[in-house]
Amino acid sequence: MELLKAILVDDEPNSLQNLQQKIAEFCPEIKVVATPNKPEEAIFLIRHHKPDIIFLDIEMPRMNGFRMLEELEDIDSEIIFTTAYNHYAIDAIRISAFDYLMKPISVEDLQNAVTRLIERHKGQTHEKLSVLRKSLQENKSQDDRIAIPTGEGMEFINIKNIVRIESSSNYSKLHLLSGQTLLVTRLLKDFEEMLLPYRFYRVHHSHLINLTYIQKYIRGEGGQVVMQNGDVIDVARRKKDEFLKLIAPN
Amino acid sequence: MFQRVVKGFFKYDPQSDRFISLFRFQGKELEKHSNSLNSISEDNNGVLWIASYTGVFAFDPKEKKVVKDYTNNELLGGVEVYGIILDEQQNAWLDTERGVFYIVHATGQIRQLTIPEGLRNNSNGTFYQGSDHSIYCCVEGYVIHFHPSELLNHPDQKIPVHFSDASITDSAYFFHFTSTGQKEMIATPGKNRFSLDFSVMNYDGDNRYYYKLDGVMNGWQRNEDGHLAFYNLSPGKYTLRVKGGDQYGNLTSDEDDVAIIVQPFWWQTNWFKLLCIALVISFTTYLIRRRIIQIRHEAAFKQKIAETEMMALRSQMNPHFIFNSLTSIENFMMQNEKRLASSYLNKFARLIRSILDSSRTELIPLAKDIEALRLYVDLEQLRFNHKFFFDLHIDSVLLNGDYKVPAMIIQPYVENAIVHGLAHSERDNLTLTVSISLRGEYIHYSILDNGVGRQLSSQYNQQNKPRHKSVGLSISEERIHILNRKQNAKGNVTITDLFDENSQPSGTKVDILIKAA
Repeated sequence: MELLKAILVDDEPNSLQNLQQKIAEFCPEIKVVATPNKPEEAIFLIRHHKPDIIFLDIEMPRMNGFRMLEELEDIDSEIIFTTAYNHYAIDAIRISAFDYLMKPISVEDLQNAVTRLIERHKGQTHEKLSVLRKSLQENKSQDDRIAIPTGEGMEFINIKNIVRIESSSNYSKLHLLSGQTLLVTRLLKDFEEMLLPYRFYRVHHSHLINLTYIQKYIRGEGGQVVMQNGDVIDVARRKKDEFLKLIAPN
Repeated sequence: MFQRVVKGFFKYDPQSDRFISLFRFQGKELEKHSNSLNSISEDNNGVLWIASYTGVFAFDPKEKKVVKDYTNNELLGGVEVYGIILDEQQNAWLDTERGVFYIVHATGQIRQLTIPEGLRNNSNGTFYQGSDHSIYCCVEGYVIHFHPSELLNHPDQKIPVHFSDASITDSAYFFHFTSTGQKEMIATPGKNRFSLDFSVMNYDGDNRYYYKLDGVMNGWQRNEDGHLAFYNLSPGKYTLRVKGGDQYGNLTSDEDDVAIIVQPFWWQTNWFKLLCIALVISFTTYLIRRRIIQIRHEAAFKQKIAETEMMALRSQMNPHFIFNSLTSIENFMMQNEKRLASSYLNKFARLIRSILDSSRTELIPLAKDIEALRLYVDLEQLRFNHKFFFDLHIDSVLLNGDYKVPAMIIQPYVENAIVHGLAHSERDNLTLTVSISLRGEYIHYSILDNGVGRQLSSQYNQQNKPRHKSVGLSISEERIHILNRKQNAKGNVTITDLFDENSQPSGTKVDILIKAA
């Protein structure tokens, strides 16, 4: 098997050295071709090497990881973000289905990320990046898309097409506006975190609903919501107050 | 037929031609009533009305005792009564040495029949009962004939009464008259000692004087001579009424009145009292509200201190710094640099410990704070691969003295100098200079970097992440404000942008003044 070419980008030499060492020792599928510690340098090297994988630090002087990617328009490389701590960015990374590693990077996380990447290597970086860019913007709209890993690769779904998501053990079942359903190997909790800024609310342990599609609320202990597609969803008793405040704020 | 004897009553019985003893006075009774009896009259109840040398009394033969006694009466007591006669209404008519009197049966009142009723003079006479219940009275030189019922139905005799004199605080006062004709007497503030005289216009016999101050007295009060004096009446409006009475205690229907107005001092007036009450209430309310606001303020201030301290702690525990430092340390491990790994892990541990400790106390010894600063910069230097030099100058006065400072107050400025000033720059000789000196009562910190300067840095920031907000600096400023308030000091922060000889940005200088503690 041909080795995957990788470029590591980080402003902190120690971090670079650290990751390089870990890859060398624990990821035999990868060959590190360059380790630039300046974003300007990195842009040049990425254009030059056209690597299969970029390990990209988000926090860098002058130009952070996201800004740097904007300079690289036609990019086919897979990207794995590395970050010490970045809350808002992580949501955006997840919604665009990129992988990310938290520093200090654990070897296990690194290996898992590499394995996932090899299995699903579909070259949809371009599309994912457009989702990421959109998601990084401050004003969120349901016109934004979400990247969803499926058996075949990535599916990009308009957030406004999701009526609700139902959990079933380790899977999540997306109910779309078209009436289709989509089974995804992601926890409902992950969707909840990603979609919270897009007017989604988890009314029940196993139900995340798009507030845009509520047709009516039926009073009860917790009550029930009827969605526009006719689905009736229970509202958990302890969620009732918060939910009602959300849909009728007065 | 009754016979009067000195010692008692005997009844003459014509059948047996004998006197039967009815009653004998004993002891005191004997003394009082045994004087020569002049006349006897029997009323409808069989009670004997007896006119005696010392007055009149009534004796009930059935009960064998005196039921009414006028021998001690102020009008009739000790007056010799010559004759007595009872009319149809059982009123007793008396012929006395002082003239004609009558006792009204219904009320028991004693009155004199005098000139107004038609008597020529007050001389005495003898009674005879007429066939039509009228009474004839033979007085010296003439006979009066009258019907008792008509005489007694006569309205009360009017004895005119009016005020004659008045004075306020010893100076004569002339009554005001209101539009309704009401007499009025006005006492100006402080002059509420006044006297009034009133006369009863009856020139016959003794007069009695009665007065009543409405609102103060309930009933009529007798006065000796028609001279009234009032002292210290509280401010207000009163009506003083006066009435006359005859010697028998009969009040006349005529009366005079005067409205007395005692004017209050300005501080006695109602509006002034109301004003005082309103003032007291509003002042109290003001005090209470001020206290509430003060307490709220203090609570808010405390809350703010707590929040700021929390935030300061969080900003010192910058996750980027922590995790990047840990990554650097882990790297030593990966590279098998045991000594360095251990050394930096140690520094990291000491810094974290120092931060955690200082979060508990507000002020810490300067030496301890400087140690934490050194540790922090060391770790940043490690993180940025010794990209910059670090110069630290401290006044020896400060090192030797016992000074306390708020923990890590300059840390955010130092971090800023490194992350936003030096890190962006690629030039040589990047240096961070921190100087700490004593300036009078204040400790002066100077943080100087020769990085890219604020303008370029904020430009980078904008391009990278417009949402990011650095809280560290504002928290430090907030802490300095709080300290200023507590110490009543004027600590401050000044930031200066530096330029080289070509007017190119050449770094940033931050000056911080904090009152030494």
